[in-house]
Amino acid sequence: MARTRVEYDDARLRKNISNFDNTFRRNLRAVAEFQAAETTGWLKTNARWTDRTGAARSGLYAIPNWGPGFIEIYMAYSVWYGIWLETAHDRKYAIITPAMRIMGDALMQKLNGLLDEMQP
Amino acid sequence: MMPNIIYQRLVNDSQLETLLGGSGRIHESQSVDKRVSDNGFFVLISFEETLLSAPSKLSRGPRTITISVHRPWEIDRDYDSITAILNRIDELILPIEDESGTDGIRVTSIRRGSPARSANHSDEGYKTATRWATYGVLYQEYAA
Repeated sequence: MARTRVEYDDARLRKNISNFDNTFRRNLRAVAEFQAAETTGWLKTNARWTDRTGAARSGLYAIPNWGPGFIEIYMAYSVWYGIWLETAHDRKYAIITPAMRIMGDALMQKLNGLLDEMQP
Repeated sequence: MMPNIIYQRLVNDSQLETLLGGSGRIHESQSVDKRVSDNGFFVLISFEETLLSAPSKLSRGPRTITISVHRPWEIDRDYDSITAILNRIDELILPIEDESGTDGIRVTSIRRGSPARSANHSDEGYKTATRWATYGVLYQEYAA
């Protein structure tokens, strides 16, 4: 009767498992930083109003933020009248609301492949 | 361009016309720059982006549309009647499936979007009380 013997060193497996949470969080933060930079560019490019001073467009930004148990991306105007661009006139000049759908979808696509692409 | 079947379904419904208080009260949002009615309800339809959630040879995905119901706030801020109009719009367009309008564009299906319904809002630009509904419309945009 043939016998098969397998030898393996589980040290690397143990190390990877113990490091998994930190590695995963680091990757999530990297994705959030990348997505925030991409979103800032998208906001400035796709804002659908005609510029007068350029202040509203240039003042659009998205920044990542994280803490225990959460990662988020802020999107905001820098001009005081940004709220009216976003909510008045049937929201026809809104840019942050569509960005939540479009950039949110892009973010989810990146997160979907995150585990597959993680390096040990 | 909006698939004509949606517009036709809304403007040809007598019950919706009664709720709105007359005809000629449904417009595409990007085609108006000021409040289109000072004496009652009006509806604005806005066609937004098409999302392809994953690379696909079909190159098709649902297009977001929002349909808003407005009423000048100096007339009333009763949101029940606005909600009743949104409910009627739901009844008219959600059943559309594999249907074409006079433009020949076939709508495969319409589902609720996210958020399905907005909160009660005041539109400071048009000076109206307003709520809106969001939908995802799957149609042959590239055939338009």
